[in-house]
Amino acid sequence: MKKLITLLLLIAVLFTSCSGDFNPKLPYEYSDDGTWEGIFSGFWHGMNENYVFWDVDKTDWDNVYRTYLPLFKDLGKYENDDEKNEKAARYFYDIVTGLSDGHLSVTLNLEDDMFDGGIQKFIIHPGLVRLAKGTGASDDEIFEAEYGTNASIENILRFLPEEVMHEKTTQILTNDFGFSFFESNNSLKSVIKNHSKFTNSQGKTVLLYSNRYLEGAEVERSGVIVNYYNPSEVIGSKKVNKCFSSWTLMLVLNNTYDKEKGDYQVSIDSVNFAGLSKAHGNIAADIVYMAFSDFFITGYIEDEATKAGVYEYLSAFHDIKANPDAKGMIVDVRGNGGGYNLDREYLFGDIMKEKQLFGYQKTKTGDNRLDFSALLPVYVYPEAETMADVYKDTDATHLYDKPFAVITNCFSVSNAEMTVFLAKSMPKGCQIGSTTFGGQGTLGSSFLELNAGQFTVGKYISQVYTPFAQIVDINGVSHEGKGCIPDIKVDFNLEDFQNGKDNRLQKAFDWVKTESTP
Amino acid sequence: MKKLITLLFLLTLMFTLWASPDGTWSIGFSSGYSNNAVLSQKGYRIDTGYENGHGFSVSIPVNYKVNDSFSVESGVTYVQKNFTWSKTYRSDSETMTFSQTQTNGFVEFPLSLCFSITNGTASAVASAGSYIGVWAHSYRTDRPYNSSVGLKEEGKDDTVSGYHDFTKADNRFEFGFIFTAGVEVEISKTVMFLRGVYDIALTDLSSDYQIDRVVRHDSTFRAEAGMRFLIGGAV
Repeated sequence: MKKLITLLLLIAVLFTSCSGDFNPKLPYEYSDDGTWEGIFSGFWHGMNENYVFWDVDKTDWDNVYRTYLPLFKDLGKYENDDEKNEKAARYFYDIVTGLSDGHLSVTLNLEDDMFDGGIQKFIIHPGLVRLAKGTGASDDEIFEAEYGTNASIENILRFLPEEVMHEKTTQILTNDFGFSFFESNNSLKSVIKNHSKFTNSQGKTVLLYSNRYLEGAEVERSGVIVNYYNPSEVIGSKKVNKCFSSWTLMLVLNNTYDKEKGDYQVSIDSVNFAGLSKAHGNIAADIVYMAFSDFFITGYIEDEATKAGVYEYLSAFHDIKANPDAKGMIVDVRGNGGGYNLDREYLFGDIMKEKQLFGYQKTKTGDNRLDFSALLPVYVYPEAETMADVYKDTDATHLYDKPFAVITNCFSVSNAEMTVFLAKSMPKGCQIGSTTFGGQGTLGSSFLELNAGQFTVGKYISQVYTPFAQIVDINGVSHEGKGCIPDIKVDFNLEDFQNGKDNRLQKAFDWVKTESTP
Repeated sequence: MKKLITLLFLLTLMFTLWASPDGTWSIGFSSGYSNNAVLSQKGYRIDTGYENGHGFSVSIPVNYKVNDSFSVESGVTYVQKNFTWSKTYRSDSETMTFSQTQTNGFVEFPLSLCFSITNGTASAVASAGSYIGVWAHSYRTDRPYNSSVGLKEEGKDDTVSGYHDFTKADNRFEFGFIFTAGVEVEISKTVMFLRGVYDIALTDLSSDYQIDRVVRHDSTFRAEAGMRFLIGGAV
């Protein structure tokens, strides 16, 4: 009997062996033959197994394979050949720019001895292309701007909407509140640069300014002395003191080695501003306003050189939020490129009474395109207790039930868009401005660690930068590649903005004032 | 493959057609334990794979005894073909495992040709055949890598559970081979049996929606006990 059962099982195993079934290879293994067909096949399979948006992306990926495999096959070997390089680049451009992922960028390395190191890096970013085409640029124009010996990042920037180049945090603070960070030649003011603690080495320095310390001050935070500098270093017209009864500004300087100049250069890595408004012109009183360039707080807290300064900023920001007279909050994420997820906890955790659902996460559970997990709820958690040492037992949760406005532009992306999701989950949340960028996935390390996400195809495609997880809003809707549509649309007017008339900011203050009036 | 399945069905039908006028029908019930494995190519995923799942089965077997040596068995079976997909994430500071556990219920309709050796009361029985089935339901518990945790890692171990809404990606039709081996004891008009059952799906759990799909087959072992009641000779 045992022999009979064994025989039957063996027969069954033989019939069901997976020897004929598809067995995925690492993307670079397809390109080992050094042909364009292999490179394309590696890229196609890498995306097939590690791209996390196949349930929302409209691209017929199988049709891409059927259409482009023979075209790449015709290109033969990967080599220093202008005509082949341009064809290959254009094929990849046409494939990649059709994909939805707002974070996606593909770096193609083309062998060309006209470039440094014999390699031309051709970077395709479908999110930027979508923005450029939105202003009327054609694929041919964009491709020509990005490809070849005359290509430069400035070439595509000229196709982008005006707000991309002009509506950044430093310019908002300068135009709206009279701050001054740069000289007339656009270089960082020396009085700011000179505070960098790193002269001949890489490193970051936190600078704090506040109207609480008009001559500057040294304060102790977490056992470390933290410097507030004289606000006159960064204030031009002093308009900020007319608009805010209390305010605090954090600049993080980055000292990095510049190969071209052969020296270390200081630049602004991050800008964070928070204030409580007072009645001035069209600005309503007692509204918390924050504007910040990115979500890098977590990284600065992990760095002992910057940790204390950042905690001091968070403490001052919390004090502004804890003011019981505050009628609501405006979060300005125009031009904010996102960053660490944990920053949401540092910036908004103190206004939460309990965990706040703002969306759902979806990850991959297999190699097939539609192998997904269920939707995992994602939250911002209440953090007042955890940060008690920083917040000094004051309570900012009164802001939770009050108007919460987020100002966005077309370059608000990633965590800035999660802030929109958060606003729309709040009892009185609102998005004002323009539709956001549409890059809402969560990025991680490599595709091998998190089962999806970024990968390479050997030396030929040095980076396919893509998230490992999707985030959808509280209704389970994905806005990937489309962006978050504002509740109140306000167009950008460059002339008005440069003359200090910020229509989007004004609308936000008006909305909070109206919503907070009983 | 199709020819083999067709041959098996034809052989079974032939035995049915050649049934002796003294053939006997019986119908009954059985239940047991199921252990399912997923057969699949692993590819390049390190620390990733499928773990067997435990479940149960309930059957209503219908048997037509052609003669002392041969019978044909069909019926209907509900069987759980459960499994867990898991991935272990290792970094310098931590090791985490994220997973998806599926509790899958299938309703199967087997058709087997049975061979038995009997001493009149007790029989050793072995059968081979095929089955068609429907993937009736799937309850899933996901424990993914959570990208949004609190400052004290709140949410790190969050899970989400619920019934899966089938999509175009799922193949809800299953067919494959089924093999059994066991013993039966006939007392009066009742047959009691203990048997091991193995079924192997030839179909994929996913539908054919993409080029270069990683295929997954269910491979299920069951241990069952039950009884059948004789209901007379041939109609």
